[in-house]
Amino acid sequence: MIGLVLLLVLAIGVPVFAVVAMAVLTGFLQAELEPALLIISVLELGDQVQLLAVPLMSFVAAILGRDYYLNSWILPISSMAGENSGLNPSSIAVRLLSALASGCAVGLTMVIPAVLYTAISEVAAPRHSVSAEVLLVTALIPVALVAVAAACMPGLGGRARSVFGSVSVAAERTGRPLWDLGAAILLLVAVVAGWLALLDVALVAAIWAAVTRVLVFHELSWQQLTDKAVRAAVTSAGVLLVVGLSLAWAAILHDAGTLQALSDGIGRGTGQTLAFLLVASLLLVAGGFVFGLQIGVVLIAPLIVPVGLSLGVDALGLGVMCLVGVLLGRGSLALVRAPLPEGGGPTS
Amino acid sequence: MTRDVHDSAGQANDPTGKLIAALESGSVACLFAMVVLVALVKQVGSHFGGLPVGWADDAISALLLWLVMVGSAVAAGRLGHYRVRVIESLFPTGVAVVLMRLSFLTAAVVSLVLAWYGLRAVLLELEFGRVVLDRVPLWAIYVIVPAAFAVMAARFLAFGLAPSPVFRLREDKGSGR
Repeated sequence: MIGLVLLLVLAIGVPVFAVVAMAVLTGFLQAELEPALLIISVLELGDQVQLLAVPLMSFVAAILGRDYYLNSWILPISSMAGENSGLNPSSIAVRLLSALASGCAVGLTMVIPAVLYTAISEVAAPRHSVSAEVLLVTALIPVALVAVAAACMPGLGGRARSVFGSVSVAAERTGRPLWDLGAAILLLVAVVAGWLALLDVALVAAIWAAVTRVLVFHELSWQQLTDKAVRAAVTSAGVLLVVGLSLAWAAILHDAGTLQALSDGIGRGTGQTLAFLLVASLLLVAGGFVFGLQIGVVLIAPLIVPVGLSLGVDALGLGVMCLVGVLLGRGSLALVRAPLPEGGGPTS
Repeated sequence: MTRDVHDSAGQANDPTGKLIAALESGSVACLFAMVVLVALVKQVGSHFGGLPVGWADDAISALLLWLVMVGSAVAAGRLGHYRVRVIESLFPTGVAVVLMRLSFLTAAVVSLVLAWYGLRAVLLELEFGRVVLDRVPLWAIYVIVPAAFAVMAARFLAFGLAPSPVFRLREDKGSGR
């Protein structure tokens, strides 16, 4: 009943942070805990230094453009791969290159969800937390495969090209995204090799984006750079406030054993695990569709991590599922919003 | 096509509104620059060694908390907090405006409750008297939490009770989050 009321409150447009706060306060009152403890998780938000990656990567996104890597590389390249049907050598080469480029390009897009998932899972399941770097690297393979597989579906390829074709043409003319792809590949290699943590990657990416756009390409003035920094900071502050409140939510779910009781009720077995994975996947895709990558992870992860772990699902696997699920949801939103190409031909 | 409440552009037309907007942007920009700078010093220091960066973690924690809270207060004034706009887009303008007022008033009440609990936490910290960064009292860092929530409550309340012209609905392609 309370859940339905909260969903209704969410649907009428109450900000997400307020809805999460209401959920947590209700949980605290039901568990007869001191509601003031809610504020502790907000006060301790700053202690999770890794979360600094969120405003930094938002800054990168503000400079390069929203969903820059998705728009400039993943969908256009995947669209090309979709056009090269058949199993001739050139088609196979294009598809392999698509997988490589998409995986590298999407890597930076996934830094924020990986950091957020790690922060949430450390509270929701303290004994099963995974490193954000390992999670990101592991998630790259299915993400690249998903991007290429999606591109091979005729309808998706045509829509993607109609939306992102102009960006792709701009990329060919200027060659600048090549620089950015090179930087993304270097940064991801550094993460895979263990030379850099995700916070380092976010710092380097932010400095890279600012220096190249202001000093090398002269696309932005210092005033514009400052405006973008303010916009990124304000946007990510909203996300991090939800994170702070969600940490309390994850803690109360963990401490009260609510989800443990739920998973005990579900029982254990292959059928139950498969049913859980199906429901969790649908929740994640819906979360990514409605809330986007960041809020989607923050809201759904505290729910599914404890249940999944109690059913014997691997913690790293759950993290990968979270990242891929919200990415699919976000990508679906982009495709739904996209107009169909003129003439109706999906890939013509 | 989605409809959206016109943001606070109206208040930026008067000198006071412009001054407040400039102060807000300046504060956020300064906090962002400071936290980036401190993080850079810390990461370089820890990777290459030789630099005493033990203070950096405390400084980043404090700056990150301030950035989040000040940014959240600014976001409240610009209607920048994440919201789902499912129902309001399905109803006629009159009903949508009522729903928006209701959502803002709800957010104001929740923010006020959070400000109250934040104030209690600060008062508790005042009794403990803990310090960070050698001599900075912890309550002085935490005080931003109730202050920011109070500002957010005031702003949401203002949106919720604002006269109708403020709720000009505009048609805007793809503006919803």
